[in-house]
Amino acid sequence: MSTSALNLFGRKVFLILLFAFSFLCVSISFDGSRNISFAAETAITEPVQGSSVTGDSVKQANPPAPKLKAQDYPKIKGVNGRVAVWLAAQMHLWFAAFVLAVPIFVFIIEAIGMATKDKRYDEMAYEFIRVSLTAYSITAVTGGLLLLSLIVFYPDLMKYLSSIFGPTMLLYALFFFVESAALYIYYYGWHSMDKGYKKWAHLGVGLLLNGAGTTLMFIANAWVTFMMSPAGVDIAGSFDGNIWHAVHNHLWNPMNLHRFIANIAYGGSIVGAYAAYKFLSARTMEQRAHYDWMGYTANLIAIGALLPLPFAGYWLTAEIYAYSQQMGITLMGGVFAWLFIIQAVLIGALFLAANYYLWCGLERSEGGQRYTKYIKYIAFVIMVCFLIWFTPHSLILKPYEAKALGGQYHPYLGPLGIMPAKNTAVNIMLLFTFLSFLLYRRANKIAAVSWAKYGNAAQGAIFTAAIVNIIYLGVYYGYFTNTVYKVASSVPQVMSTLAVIILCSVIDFFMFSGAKEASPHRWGRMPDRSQYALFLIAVSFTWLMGLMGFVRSAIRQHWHVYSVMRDTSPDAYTPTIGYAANVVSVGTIIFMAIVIFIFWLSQMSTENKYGAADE
Amino acid sequence: MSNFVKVTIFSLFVIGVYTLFSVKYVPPIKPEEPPKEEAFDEGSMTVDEFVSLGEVVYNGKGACTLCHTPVGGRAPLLDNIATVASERIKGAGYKGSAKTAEEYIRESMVSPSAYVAAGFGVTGTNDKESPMPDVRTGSIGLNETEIKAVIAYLQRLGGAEVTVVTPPQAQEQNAMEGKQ
Repeated sequence: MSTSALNLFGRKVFLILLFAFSFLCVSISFDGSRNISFAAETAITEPVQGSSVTGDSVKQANPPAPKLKAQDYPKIKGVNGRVAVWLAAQMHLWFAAFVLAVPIFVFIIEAIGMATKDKRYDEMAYEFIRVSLTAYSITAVTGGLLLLSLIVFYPDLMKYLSSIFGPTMLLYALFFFVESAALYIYYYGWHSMDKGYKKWAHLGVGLLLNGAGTTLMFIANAWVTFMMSPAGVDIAGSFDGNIWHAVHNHLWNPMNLHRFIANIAYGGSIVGAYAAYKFLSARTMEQRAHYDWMGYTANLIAIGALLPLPFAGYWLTAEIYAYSQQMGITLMGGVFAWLFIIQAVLIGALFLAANYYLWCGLERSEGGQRYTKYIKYIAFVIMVCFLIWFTPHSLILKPYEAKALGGQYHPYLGPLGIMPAKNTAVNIMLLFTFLSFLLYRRANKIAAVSWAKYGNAAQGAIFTAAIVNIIYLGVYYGYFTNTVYKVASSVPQVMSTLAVIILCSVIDFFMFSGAKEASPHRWGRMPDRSQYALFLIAVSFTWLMGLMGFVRSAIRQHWHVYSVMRDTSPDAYTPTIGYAANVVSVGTIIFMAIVIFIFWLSQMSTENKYGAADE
Repeated sequence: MSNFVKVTIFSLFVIGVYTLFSVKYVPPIKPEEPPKEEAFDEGSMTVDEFVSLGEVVYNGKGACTLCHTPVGGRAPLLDNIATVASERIKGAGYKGSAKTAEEYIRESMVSPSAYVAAGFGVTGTNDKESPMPDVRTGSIGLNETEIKAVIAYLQRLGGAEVTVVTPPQAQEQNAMEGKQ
């Protein structure tokens, strides 16, 4: 290891230790807040909705949640506390997602490399764990900033949360150490542990790294979801003393699943953007081929994770409704309803970009030209689905417009605004994206099995049956049942989509085993414009994460801890969507600038080691 | 133009489009202000003031209009609830404990599953369980005066007689009972 590398290593370790130490100090000092007297409030013997606490448990000594006044929130002249915390939290979340996602991605790639004995996978995995290392330090820095801003601007909230979650904060610090140790062993041991049983041990360290990282996320998710669906406390916020009740609150598991899948998709998208940039900058065909292949693999993982993401989102939303109908309606039917139109635009852009990239990929092989004639039909269906998803239910109209229209809903487009129509559209969009992938996958192959014709017919029949079923469910539940049953279509629709993906993948796998090559598959033979699809995916993912993070937090409205601890600060109001979009955009620009800086640092370290070889 | 500049311009353009769409296309709806913890002088409230308080709570802190609205149809409309309540408590299907329309409205607010209007129960419970929370709990957290005020408002809304006893009336009654 070179001296400069050791110095860099030392600086990173120092930063991380500093963060962990400050975190420990905070959690220990706040843990003592159980003895602090809050403004007294008589404990009510009814448990919080969704809580597993019984009426008996409120007799414990733990104090209720504090009742704050506006003057209890410290102010710093010229600094908006809420925006400071918002940006720090968002920045930390993006980087945390990045450093959780990339090791998952690297672990998968390393395992594939071991299974296929293809060195390219191993090299790509190493290239990315190096990037992850710098991002890890910045994650620690942004985590420290978030902690600091919370302590400065919301000290009483932190005291209250620490009085409940103190032990988990210590656990968080412990897992942070484990993750840091595993990351450094994983990175610095890459070349010395690259053969025989040592390679397996190295993969084991990767697993430990990901296990620790995922555990960290689960712990932090417990704090966040407790603020949305508090459990283990009574109606006044008095903690029952059982920390598992608070951790295992109503939204913890759905949030864990949603964030885990989203992180994989996000990691893939960022790696894809990196590969795209390197592809555009490549000077040799060899480099171009390498980064084309890297971009494709990253995009495949990103889109592979994106496909089940809406289903995890449905589950989370359904659980929000189940926990509190009021919160659910605020999310989907109130002021935030329009936010889902923006979400539709972003996800529509993601799907269009992903499909466009796959269609461009057909050019890698002459065999792909057999399928280019289908692109216009797939594009048409995806655009129609996108427009349905994009259609708002209720319109904001001037009185004369409403009079001319005969109400708040458009007579023809209004019915497309309801959830069953949107569920139908998104499921069909998923199916046609999968169809694009199937066409791409067989671009340079000709099935050699005797039953290929029947296999194709079976796949066509499965697709057709699923689409008919999805449309029938959407129409029946959307327009011929009571309102409360409208969302009931989503589960069987999702099952239809999943069935198509699984069944057609299995048929395709067997049908193209031992297939003949139609023409060589040439990596690097992609137009430059295709790479912008990868940038679009990465930027859209980042912006979307920011937007959805806002709404997840904002549905608590004027509560720090929903229904238990009220936010009485001057910033307790819910901002407009336009205002939130501006904050998210500023955050995205800062984040992307830092990510580019990290990529540049990573490239510089390669140049130092190998001269200008990389260029 | 270098790739770095091109990619930067492209990324900023994408972010700009999303921002413009959100700011310019999406209607600028201003969310409601957080409900204020109002301190009202119960001792001097007239019936009309009490009904007005009920209207404020009904449309604000009580969050009633989130569901009890024609848009979405998630819960029954309450325009005529006072009349409906009088008939409902006499019906064979009613198993609650209310004896008057006023008690029925109160029961629906604090114990919503006592009687669930047909078609508005939690899915799979055959209208045995209401999705509505007890208005005294959770994020709504109405106090006794606010509950009474909402009942008074709903009675007035349906054109029925306001039978809820306002705080001053209650004081008078107590005083009368004390004299007797």
